[in-house]
Amino acid sequence: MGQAFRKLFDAFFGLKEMRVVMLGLDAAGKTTILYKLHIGEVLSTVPTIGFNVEKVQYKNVMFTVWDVGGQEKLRPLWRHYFNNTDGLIYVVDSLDRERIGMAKQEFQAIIMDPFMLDSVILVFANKQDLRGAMTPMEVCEGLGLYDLRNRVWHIQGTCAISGEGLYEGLDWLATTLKPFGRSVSVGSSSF
Amino acid sequence: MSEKEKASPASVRKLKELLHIRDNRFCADCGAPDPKWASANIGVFVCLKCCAVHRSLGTHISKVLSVSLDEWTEDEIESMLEVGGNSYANAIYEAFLPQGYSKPNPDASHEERTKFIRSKYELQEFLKPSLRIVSSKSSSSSFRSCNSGKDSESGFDLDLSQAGMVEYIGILKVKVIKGTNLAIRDMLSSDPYIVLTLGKQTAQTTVIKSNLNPVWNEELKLAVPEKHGPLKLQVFDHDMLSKDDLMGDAEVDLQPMITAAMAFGDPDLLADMQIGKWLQSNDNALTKDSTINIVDGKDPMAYHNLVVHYEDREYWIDNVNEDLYSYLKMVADVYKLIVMPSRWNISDVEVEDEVEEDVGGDEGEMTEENVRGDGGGMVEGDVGGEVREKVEDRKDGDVSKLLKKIYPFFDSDDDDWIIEGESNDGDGNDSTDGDDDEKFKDEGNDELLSNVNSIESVDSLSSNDESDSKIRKKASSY
Repeated sequence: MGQAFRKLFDAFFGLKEMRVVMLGLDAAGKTTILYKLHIGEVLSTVPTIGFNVEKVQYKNVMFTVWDVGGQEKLRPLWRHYFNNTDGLIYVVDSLDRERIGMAKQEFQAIIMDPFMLDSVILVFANKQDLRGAMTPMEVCEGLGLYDLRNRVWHIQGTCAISGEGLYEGLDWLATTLKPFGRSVSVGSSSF
Repeated sequence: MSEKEKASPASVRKLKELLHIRDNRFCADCGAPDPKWASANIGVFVCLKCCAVHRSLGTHISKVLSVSLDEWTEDEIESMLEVGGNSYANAIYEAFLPQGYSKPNPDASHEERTKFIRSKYELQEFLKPSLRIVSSKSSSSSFRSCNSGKDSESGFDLDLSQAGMVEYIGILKVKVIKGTNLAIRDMLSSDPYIVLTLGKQTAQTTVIKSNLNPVWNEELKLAVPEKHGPLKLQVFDHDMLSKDDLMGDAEVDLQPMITAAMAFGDPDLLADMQIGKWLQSNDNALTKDSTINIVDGKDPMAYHNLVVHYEDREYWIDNVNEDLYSYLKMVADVYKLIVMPSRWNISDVEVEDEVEEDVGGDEGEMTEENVRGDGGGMVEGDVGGEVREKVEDRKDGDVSKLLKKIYPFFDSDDDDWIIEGESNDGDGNDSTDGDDDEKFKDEGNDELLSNVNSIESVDSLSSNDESDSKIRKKASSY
């Protein structure tokens, strides 16, 4: 009964669901971002071996965010999360200039995956609070975003610790979702 | 594709072997068994919990890799092998761990770990002072305080994060002997104390109750950062209830002394001799020409006994209430300066400073006598212990310039943070916070005042050791 009521409620207010996978090299800040969005706090995170998944509601969209560990040997596992994904959040450590090349390589591999061809791309240029961080513009070039054709993407400077930029990013995802969006009730999510 | 070659299996085996030697079976920071993570640039093996802290420092300080889950490059393994593991790294990073300082244990809280690990690697507080080097600009560790308020529990509070790395070129020791005929700030007398400020550090003497001719005989120590300004001397009147009153101040230019010490870096070549002269001029507080001498010091802390000796120095102190007292005069007598072995190319500065103050007298009138009268009280030996302080001289002045250089958009108001792709609805949000640089600047003064207020009056002739530890406590408290 309650479930039905909620379905009705959601339908009425148009609560949409979006499945998002958050990827990026190790220590980019994915887990910190996830929990900053989920509970609004900065947790002290240990490296993610495996994944974290949380629901984050923003405006009328319920995001299911999968945060998958970024260590080199975990990266081959990323593709298992690609199926049915509406959006990719790719997190880059803006201070790590040395590995921007590696970040690009992984990024290109993800977005060229057949399962990911339809997903929208949100890039978080994280750690903007640190001196010497690459600007979102530089990250953009570093990842080769400008060369993308027929993809919907957006880059956002963020600071996971203060939360700056995170909701702006979600905002973009939410508005971008609309044309593609499908109204789904919360109870029927598939994971 | 990464530009660097992946490590060969042989190198990986070497890395694993290194992990398995006994020293590396325990986390370098907390001692937890079987660390599986490593900081490739620092060269330590750490446990998962400490690795979390290392990651939060940023890759410019610690490049964390998993021994099992990451692919290492040849270079990274090489640098691990070069360091040789935890005990070698700790011999450097914990060389000057204060006695009685307890490292975090394997069950330590995240906060405790964070504090220690930051002190150890980011601020490098336990390094031999002469080895502390300024990190290059791009790897400067300071945080822009995007979060100063609410996240301070996560170890990112402004103080700590602004501290950055500062190169010390020595220790400045100032001995405050006494003041004479000081200004009246309370009903009939004053409760004076002296505050010395160098960069962002302060040290102060105890308060002497109701005395216009106080005798301190206190030795104050300050670390001399690379970009030291002048040494500021301030005389305050301690008030229980209200804010302490400034009685007078002066600035002492340390440059002649530092220059002399740097120029005569090799103490072996020198015997007692005069190496320079410091002339009185309108823009220093000196009332008389002063000489810079090298004399033989007997400081047990010094590796070499080069002492630069400043003689007979007097300072005009601008009095706050010009109408009541035209000047406070201070006499500084001896500066001692000890230079570290020249291969470090960095010198340890030791200064002994005999200070006297006088009010209202004519310039030439009193000093000679006072100096002579007090000469016997000079103490040569070292009180021992070392003061290491976080110096935050990067905060002031040029910080915003620096920031602008690094962050081209630092104070620009447009939406540089956001670059749109195809779906462009212009929902830009400006995330730069322009008021940050104000925070940088305000810090120092507030700190000073709060320090001043927290000091209780203490007997005039407290022993040096006692006052020293008090100073050290205070200094390290910020």
